[in-house]
Amino acid sequence: MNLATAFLVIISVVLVNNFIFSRFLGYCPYIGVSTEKKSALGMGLAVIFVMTLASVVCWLVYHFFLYPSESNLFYKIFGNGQSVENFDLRYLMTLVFILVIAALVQFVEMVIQKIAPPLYAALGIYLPLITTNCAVLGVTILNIEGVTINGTQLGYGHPYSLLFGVLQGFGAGCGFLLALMLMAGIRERLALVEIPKPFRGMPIAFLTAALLAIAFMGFAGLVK
Amino acid sequence: MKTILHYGLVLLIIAGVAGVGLSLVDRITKGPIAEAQSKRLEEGQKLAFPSASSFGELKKLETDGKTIEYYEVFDEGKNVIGYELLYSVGGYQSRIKVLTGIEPDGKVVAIRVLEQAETPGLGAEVDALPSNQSLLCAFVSLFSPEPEKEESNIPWFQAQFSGKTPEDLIVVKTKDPKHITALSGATITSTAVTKAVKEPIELFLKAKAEGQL
Amino acid sequence: MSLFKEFLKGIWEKNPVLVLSLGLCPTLATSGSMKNAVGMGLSVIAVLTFSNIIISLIKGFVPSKIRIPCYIIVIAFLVTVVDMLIAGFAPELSKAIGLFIKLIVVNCIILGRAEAFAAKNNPIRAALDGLGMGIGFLIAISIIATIREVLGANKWFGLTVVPGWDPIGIMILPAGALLTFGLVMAVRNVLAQRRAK
Repeated sequence: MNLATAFLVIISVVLVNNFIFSRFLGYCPYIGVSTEKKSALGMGLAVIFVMTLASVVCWLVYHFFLYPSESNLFYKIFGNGQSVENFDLRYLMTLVFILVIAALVQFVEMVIQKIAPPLYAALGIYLPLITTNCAVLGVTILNIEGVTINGTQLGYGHPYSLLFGVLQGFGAGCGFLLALMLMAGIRERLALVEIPKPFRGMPIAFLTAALLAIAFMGFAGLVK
Repeated sequence: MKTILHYGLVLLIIAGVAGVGLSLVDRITKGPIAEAQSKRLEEGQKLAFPSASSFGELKKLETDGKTIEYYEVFDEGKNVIGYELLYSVGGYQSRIKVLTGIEPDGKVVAIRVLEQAETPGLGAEVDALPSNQSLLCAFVSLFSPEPEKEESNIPWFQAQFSGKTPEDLIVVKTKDPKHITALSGATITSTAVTKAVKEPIELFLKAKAEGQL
Repeated sequence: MSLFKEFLKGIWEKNPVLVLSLGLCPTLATSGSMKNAVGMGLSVIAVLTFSNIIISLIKGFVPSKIRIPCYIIVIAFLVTVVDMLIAGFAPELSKAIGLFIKLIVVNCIILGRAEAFAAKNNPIRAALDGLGMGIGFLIAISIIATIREVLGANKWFGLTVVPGWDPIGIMILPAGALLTFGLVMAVRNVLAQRRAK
């Protein structure tokens, strides 16, 4: 993977296939935390952090524990003479990935609290919310599927590329932050406007998101 | 310390029960799932080459660093009348696996999308059946039961590929019987399916001409 | 609250999608066609009812500090089991709704109800709550899917509605989903305000 492709992966996942505007992942925190810019920034940064880390850890787990191959640790330890196929644990993927994410979030929370109290004060309250952010689980599963950028297949196969996973995880987080900041900026102004009563709160937020989604449709075709 | 042990134990028990439960269910369902998949493949094989009477074993062809899986297609006299190529590409958000029946010169007989998990309502429409029956007609026919017409079970998007040569396999956005009309709002999926048909045919024909089979 | 009311609240008063804003991602993602929406709705009803029952049963055993990971394990387990059972024993059904079943893991209605209701109530109430919420979800997603499919594809359950009419393509795209959702929520608010008066 050269630098240009790496850049395209990021562009693709931030603008073209934005998790919020074209994949419908991560809506609960998106609508919930986008009322002001400050908390949106905190949430967005926390999501970037967890998504990148989760991409790495889930790759390790998938590669060394779930996928039946020569490098599967269960196969290495208990495998004497048995077929590799017997060590196919991929049916546990959803369960294991979501556990990994939950554990990771808890761990990150504790570490940040210990070594960087100011950062914890800023991000702390958003971290537990991330466990239930489906975009995080989404990105770890999408990493396995890979993506096609300008005709080249990236990430798919075994072992799927760790570098690609990290890039996509980081990019998806950035895309989430971008969507969140745009929305928060608009909603801060909307708070000052006289909105018809039935539209107050959620409905107007969704209509705003619809307009943003239309704007993001303009990026379609930027990366083929 | 005691509480940590307690927490760990509870988590371990729940995760353990869930894990053991899943592996049990996996044992029970592994057979039926594999059976259902092979049944789906068999059905696909028939649909991708309706005039065939039997199919050969799965063979692998490695060319240009890519792997194509294919079956030979026989008529009643066990003569090879074509091939079926199995190939998968990355779609919009899932792997798309396509079985393409071709004549020896590369002309497409029919295709069948075996696996896909694209966006419902957009990319997943590659599996949508053609239906010009209107709601009103369906509603009326509820009250006047008439013998129903046999509906085609080939999705319209996949039906477009039949009879096309590899050069014709270009995705266009407006209706054009010569090429492949994209699904509205799902150009990436349409292009991916087309690629999954065109690429293996080209590679296969090239390898065949070079005598690699 | 009577048992019947417990069941009924999920449909209007506390509709999970339109009022509690839970389960937004699957609602938006699968409301492009009626067929998908109904498939998703039915799968949610099944998983939500069972997860509520199980979580209500184990609530005394799970310490409150680690309850979220425990609930998530239960949900992921249930979803995977349902997915595998359907794939193995009802392959035709699996072809139609298999995709949505996997999506249920990330449906926050399930975790939301586990946390807000099942963890505090007995299994019977929890089951009724799950059933009601599930049906409320099915109704909400069906309304949105009807609007989107009719306007966006001129179809309903795959059947043409007005022959010869060119549909508004954007309704089937993500932007259309958000637009429809916002408007349906606003209409519900209007009706709720009328009722309150």
